[in-house]
Amino acid sequence: MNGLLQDLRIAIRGLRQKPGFALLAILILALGSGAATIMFTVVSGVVLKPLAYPDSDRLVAVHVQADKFGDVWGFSYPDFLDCLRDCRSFEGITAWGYSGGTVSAPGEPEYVTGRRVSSELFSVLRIQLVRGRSFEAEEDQFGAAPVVIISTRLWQQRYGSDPHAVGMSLNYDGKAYTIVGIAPPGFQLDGVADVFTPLGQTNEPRMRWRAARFLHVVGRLHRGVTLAQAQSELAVLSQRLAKAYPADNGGITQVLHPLQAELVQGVKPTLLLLLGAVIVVLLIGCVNVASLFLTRVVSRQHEFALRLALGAPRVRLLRQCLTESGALGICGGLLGLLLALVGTHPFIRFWPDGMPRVEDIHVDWRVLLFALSASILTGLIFGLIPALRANNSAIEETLRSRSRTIAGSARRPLSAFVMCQIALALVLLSAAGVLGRTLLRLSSLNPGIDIRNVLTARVGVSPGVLSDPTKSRADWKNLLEDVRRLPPVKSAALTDIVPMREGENTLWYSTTATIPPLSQAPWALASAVTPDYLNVMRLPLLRGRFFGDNDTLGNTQVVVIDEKLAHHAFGAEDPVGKLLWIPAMGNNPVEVVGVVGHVRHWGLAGDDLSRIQDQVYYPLAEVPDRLVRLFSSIISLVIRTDVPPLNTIQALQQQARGAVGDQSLYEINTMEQLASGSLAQQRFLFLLFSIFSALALLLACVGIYSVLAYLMSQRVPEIGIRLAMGANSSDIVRLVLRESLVIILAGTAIGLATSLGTGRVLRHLVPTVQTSQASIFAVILPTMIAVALFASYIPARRAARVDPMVALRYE
Amino acid sequence: MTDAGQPLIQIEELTKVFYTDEVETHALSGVHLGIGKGEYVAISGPSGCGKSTLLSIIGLLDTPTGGKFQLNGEPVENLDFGARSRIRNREIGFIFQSFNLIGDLTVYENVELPLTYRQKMPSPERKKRVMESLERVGMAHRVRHYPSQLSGGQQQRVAVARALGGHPSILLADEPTGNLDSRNGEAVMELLQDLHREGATICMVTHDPRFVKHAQREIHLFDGKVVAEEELHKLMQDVHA
Ligand SMILES: Nc1ncnc2c1ncn2[C@@H]1O[C@H](COP(=O)(O)OP(=O)(O)O)[C@@H](O)[C@H]1O
Ligand SMILES: [Mg+2]
Repeated sequence: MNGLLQDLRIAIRGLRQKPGFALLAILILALGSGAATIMFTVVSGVVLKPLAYPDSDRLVAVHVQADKFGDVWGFSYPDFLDCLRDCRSFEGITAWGYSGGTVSAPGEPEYVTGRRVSSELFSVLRIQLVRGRSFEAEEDQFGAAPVVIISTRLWQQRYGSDPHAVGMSLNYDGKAYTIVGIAPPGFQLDGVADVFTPLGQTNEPRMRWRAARFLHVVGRLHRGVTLAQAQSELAVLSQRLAKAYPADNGGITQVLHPLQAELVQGVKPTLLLLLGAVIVVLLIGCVNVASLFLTRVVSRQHEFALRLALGAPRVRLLRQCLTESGALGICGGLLGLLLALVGTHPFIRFWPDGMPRVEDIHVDWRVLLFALSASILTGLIFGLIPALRANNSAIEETLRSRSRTIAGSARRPLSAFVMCQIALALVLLSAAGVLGRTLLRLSSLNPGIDIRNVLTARVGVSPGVLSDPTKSRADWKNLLEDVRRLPPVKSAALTDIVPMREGENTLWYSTTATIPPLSQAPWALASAVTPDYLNVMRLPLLRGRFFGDNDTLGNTQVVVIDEKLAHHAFGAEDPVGKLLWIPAMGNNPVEVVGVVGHVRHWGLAGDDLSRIQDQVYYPLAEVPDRLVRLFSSIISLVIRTDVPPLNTIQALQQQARGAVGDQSLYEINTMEQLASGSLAQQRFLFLLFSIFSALALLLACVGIYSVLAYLMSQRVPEIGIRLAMGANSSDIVRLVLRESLVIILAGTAIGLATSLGTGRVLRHLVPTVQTSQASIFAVILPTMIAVALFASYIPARRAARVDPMVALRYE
Repeated sequence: MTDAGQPLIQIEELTKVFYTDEVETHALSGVHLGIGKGEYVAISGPSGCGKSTLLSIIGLLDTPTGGKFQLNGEPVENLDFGARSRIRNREIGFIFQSFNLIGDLTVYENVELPLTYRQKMPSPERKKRVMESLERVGMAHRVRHYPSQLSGGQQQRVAVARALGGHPSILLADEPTGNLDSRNGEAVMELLQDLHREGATICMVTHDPRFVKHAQREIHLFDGKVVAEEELHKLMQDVHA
């Protein structure tokens, strides 16, 4: 113990003598382990940690899957009820769907997001309400008295956290609800929501359709029931439903997955990718510090040899090396931890479209363990190698040698370290290159519409008109007219879905009157739009016509299809005048009156990956009365302006307030924002990989520089001899560069081979990546070599300036 | 000794001052010296009198602080780095006390080294010269060895071969026997004498009186100045008194 303290004292004295070295080493380690700890904090919180619900390992997400295409859909309400009644595997099972509406009292009218949940939700998740109670089964039925559970946020904002808020009334969507409970703060159900209403009370026709699969279903398995057992029970139920309802349920199976995997599947690949990248950076940092250390030890070889000759046991020297590197490792690790503590939350905020389970991300013991083991391991790696080297080196030779050139054996591990750093940096650079190329390719894709000068907004329709379809239709019409009165608005339209924004509406169609079963029929994305939609979006009209004001209910139903649907359904034939059977639009066929270009609805990146490619448009005016209320709740306004559209927002909001002034616009975006947002994930990955690879390149350069500078300092006498023999400065520069070029090329070759492997991993994890790496290597290889050579040029230059007199006096 | 009348090296009023930590060291203070082609000159004097400094300046490794220095009739005291290394490569052959072979290069590569810095020497010619020089010093059978595998005397012979390979105008040797035992030292001295007999110009620093007699002419340095032999004895006695 005494010896250890002494070692520590010696180590600290040694480091104080070379503060630059110690500082550099600590900084590199802190950066590496800090970044790794941040990523691990996130991965641990989001992917590894069990969900915050009690016994969350028994929670499963249930879907239906079409046997033919393997598509995964949500549940329909009737299917859910069957499952609820018949499935024995579950202790409880619950369904929920998205909703939202205007809260008009108490307080100012405001659009809030909501969820419709079945009465079992809170008991299945085992969530304790802050106040009040969950829904009763009787309340979860059509016609029951309107009750609501509100978020803590709404409770604080609208009721001033009144302890007696339960029992009070909330005016939501034009209806008075009685508050029965208050959800705990931070409670999320795929994002935050403020209003929870009983799903069973929903008065929408789709609640009765087996084909309307819009619900999320979560179940809690009985203790002891395995996933496989539950799965086989669901399979039996699926078969029974398929037999009973062949049109809607034929070829469809219910499947389940652990809820946790389900929640994070969107971000898991990205997170793992980033964790991998960050670990590579950490590795480079370690190797970097290791080579720093090796140069130190080699230059102290004489001292060590002397100590050994004087009888110091080898273990002592080993321990001294380890103490020094351990001290640095722990310093770096602690600083890295500090970095992680301050850096994690900015990093999460920086994540595009929200990270799931943010509330579960904390620096916890796992992360502490990770940071600690990372730094200890680093300490071991970079302490042990030099220490072992000092041990192995033939002491007598070192002492005896009058050779004033550094032996090749010391040069080799240093060169190997530099090679590693170059190889690892190249791996990251090529990944960044692949992601950059992908991003470039995706950004240059034609979205299919003219995204410039288009503003989109959801409309929180006046609650007063909701219950009356005629009033609603008049309200839509007035809204358009009001908006068109604004000078910068060139055209305005209403639509149920907006390209590249969340929200979709899919239906299946047939070209014949005999409709195949649901799971076999082709699917299309449907948009209900007003006639000006063509002008707002500047959709290319390829054939026929778009809608006019006469295309309303009562006349023949007409649709416009996109080129892909035209091709799939009618091949080379002219689709105009042809008929389509679309069950969701009634039993009568609809007539195709025009063909427009395909729109990348699922985002610039996502559209190619989506199985549903066909698109169909129909007039909003053809929406039947019974669906008007539903459409009112999802409707969006799109306008084309002749000024930058963001400048018109205020005037637009003013103009859209409606007759009673209780109508609002929300989720306001320009089409350009939506298009660029659809690449946010790609951009984020690219950005981070660029940062990481720049860091890696920088570290590799520091490594090349410090190792070469060291090697050159060892070779000053040799350089003196060469100069005495008549070498001039360019000879010396060339000598140094040639040697480093060999190292650089070897590292590059290793990196190249590794990149080919990691490229495959990347393509696997990020499906939009298709780019071949060849073109990327063509750019990064010369860059890499040039940068590395530049890093070598500085020590080479310095070597060439050696004064031969001084060099030869080195004895 | 065809051009014995024309001096190869002509030095006048040569001074060299080192400045270190505000201390001026006058290593050379007004040296006059001429060396003719084919001459064998020994420079002797007590340690620290400026012998090595003088040799380095003659070898264009260092520049004088003042005075004139002509090599082959050309003034060389004010040349730039590149020009000096070019001349060094062609005209000067160095032999050091501590051999100064490069440990990572074989005997062959060490001898070849000065020739690689000479442009446009075809490689057969280079090879011929290397082998010639190695044969001349009796080391041709050790081409693939590394310096650490040779004895001190052998290393110094390789160093001589390296100096010979470039066919220099003058060989400069700074205490070439300093690191050798007397037997090996004698052998190297004999080698130098043979080379002189074959026409080489040699300027050697030594303080070993046994070897001074090999030279045709002895130059005494004392405190940075050239002094006559009698004067040197007097000065030395003063010092010891
Ligand atoms: N680079 C230098 N910087 C400072 N002083 C030097 C340097 N080289 C030589 N000297 C000094 O110049 C004097 C002559 O040195 P040197 O020529 O090496 O002597 P010698 O070879 O005769 O022993 C000595 O006093 C020495 O300390
Ligand atoms: Mg000397």
